[in-house]
Amino acid sequence: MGSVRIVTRHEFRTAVTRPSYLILTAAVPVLVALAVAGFAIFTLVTREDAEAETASSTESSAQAPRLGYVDLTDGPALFGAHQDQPGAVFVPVSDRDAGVAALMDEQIDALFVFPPDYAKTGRVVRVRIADDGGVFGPDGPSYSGTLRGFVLSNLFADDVPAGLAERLRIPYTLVTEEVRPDGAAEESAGFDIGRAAFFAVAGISLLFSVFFSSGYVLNALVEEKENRVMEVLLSSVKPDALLLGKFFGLGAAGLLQMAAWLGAVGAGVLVLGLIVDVPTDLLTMPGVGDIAIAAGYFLFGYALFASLMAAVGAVTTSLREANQISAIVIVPAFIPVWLNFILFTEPEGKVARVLTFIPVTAPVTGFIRLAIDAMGPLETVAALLVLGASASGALWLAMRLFRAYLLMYGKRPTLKEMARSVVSG
Amino acid sequence: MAAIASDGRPHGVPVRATGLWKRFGALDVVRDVSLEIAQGEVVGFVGPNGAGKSTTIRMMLDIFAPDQGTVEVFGAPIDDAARRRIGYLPEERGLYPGLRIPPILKYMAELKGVSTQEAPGLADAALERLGLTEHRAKKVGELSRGLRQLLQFAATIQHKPDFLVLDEPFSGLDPVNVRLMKNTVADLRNDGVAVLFSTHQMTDVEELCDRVVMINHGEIVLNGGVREIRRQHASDRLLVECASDLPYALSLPGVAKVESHGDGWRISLDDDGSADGVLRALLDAGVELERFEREAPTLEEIFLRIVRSAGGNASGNGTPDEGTRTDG
Repeated sequence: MGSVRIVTRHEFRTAVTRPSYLILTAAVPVLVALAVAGFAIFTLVTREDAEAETASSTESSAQAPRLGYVDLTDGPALFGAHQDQPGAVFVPVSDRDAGVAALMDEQIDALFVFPPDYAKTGRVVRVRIADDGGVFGPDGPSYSGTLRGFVLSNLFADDVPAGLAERLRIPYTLVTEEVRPDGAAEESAGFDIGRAAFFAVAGISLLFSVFFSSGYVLNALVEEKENRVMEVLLSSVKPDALLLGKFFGLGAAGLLQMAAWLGAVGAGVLVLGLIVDVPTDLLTMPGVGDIAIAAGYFLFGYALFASLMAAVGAVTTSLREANQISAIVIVPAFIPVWLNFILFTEPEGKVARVLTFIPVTAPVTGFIRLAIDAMGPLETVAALLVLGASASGALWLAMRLFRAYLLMYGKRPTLKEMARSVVSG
Repeated sequence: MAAIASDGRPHGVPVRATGLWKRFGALDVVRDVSLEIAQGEVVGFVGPNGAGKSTTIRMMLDIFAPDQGTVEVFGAPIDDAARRRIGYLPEERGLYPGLRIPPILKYMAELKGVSTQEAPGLADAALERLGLTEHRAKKVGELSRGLRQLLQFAATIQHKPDFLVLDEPFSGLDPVNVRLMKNTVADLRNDGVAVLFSTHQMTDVEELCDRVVMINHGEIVLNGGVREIRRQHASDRLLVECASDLPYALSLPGVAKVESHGDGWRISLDDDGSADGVLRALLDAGVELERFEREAPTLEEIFLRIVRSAGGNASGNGTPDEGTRTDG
């Protein structure tokens, strides 16, 4: 184990002091910092404008939008008892022309006309000032929700029992209750934005790690073959120990990079939370279980792809050739991204379940499904076990190939030769 | 088996390979090779390209597992402890071009069991010994090819190995650095280090080695002391230098031919002739001899003779499978 530790330390130190690693590691925090700073500046500027506008509005005693209405309905007036609505004040206007004049004078923000046949047809006319509208159109807010509340309140509020008037405005909030086979019921927690964000970021990080961390293993192996350092090292350390040392050292460097990126993103979200009103769900720390699942996927995913990359490095003879062949390993990792429309629309369908258990597609599929809460605990554990077993098998394969072809220069073995080497050990 | 002396260094035969056999595909690259190297002995390991030298070396260092045979280093099969007492400079060699010298030497030393605290001192000593101190702060990629080779040699010996394997160590070096390296190898031998020295340069073997092992087509065809082998392959010709002419030597019994050779004469003996008889006859005739010796072939001549008699080609005899490897 001493040799593994020494190789691990060397590989880690060498990797984390490379300029390319430092630049790449710093890139995400720098981008996050720039984005947060830019957003903060934008928010502060717009807030100042909003405050100035608010101050101006306060002076004119018109904080809430003033929505004019003309009640031309037959019979007694239907509207007028409930003019104050959440977020708006309805102002009666005597007739359409007066309303238009008030609208043009900006004394009101919108004008609604209830025609005489309203009770029969339900038709309400919104009068707008003709305008070219610019890029974003002439409409402004639709006020449809506010209008609905105004109409319902005035038509029925006095007829419903006390305590139910609010239901006229918001008739219901739908929640789902799930019943288990044993008859026990539990209310669904609903969509957890924070959890979704956590697994989304973890999945993106895993994709990056496929590119970078496991790529480090490939590059380190092929470079040592190209530089002819390999044989010198092998007189001091067994091939398995050398490979494991690289595996651990470069994996640690990759994890450190991921931690820096995730930390930067997390810090960015927290800072944003201080600047603007970020939904509290997003600021919730992920649970221990979620962290454990993500760590399992990440570690097994890294182990799988790094092992496959090491196998590619073992049987290739130059960095160029290795990078070409490594596409065979990397491309399948992106299949879940290409099929994301299926995963999102049918997260518990056959395609999603199959991709969850194919080793090279499992990590990214798992993160997507976990983000939308479409994987149960049993399926998650089973998928992790399959992925872990696959990663172990890939590492075993890489070691066999590495032992067989570690000093091979100039000629790539055929598939038949590789199969023979793996079988014979 | 190697015994440990009071100074902590091994005595006896620290390296013993017995009946090594290695097959790549359908080809037996090494066949029944046995080899011993004693403490303080430099053994020249020679043979044409593709003869199986590098494969044998790799089996002796446990880089390749032999199909048959055993290797004992310091009295036991190679383990991590034994590996730390070995220094190996392979023919296909290199270092990390993007790294500076100190971390590379430290890494190599630590892999040989040297402590983190001790490594810098040993590295500095090795660099100083090979005249590389002024280059200490450089990256490997900034060094010339010769300096890189010296640096690699420094990495090989810095941990004071008891068994040193050098595969074509002088290729690409200028004469000054070749001399420096030879002197260092001689010093190490005097310190009791067992050295296996693989090369194509027979003059280097004659100069440095106590014993020579020749391998051809995967088999050992010659194994013995350098002087002993030259004596065994000595010809039936005598080299004589004297003040007077020697044509009359033809009339001496046992002499088949006399010819001019350099500043003297070359006398070829017939089947009945002997050097003793010719020497006695010349002295009896009152010839004032300045030089009288049996003409011995150089190791290179012996090497070429053996390779050619085996139907090989001394300048290239690679095997198909070894073409994908770096075997010499």
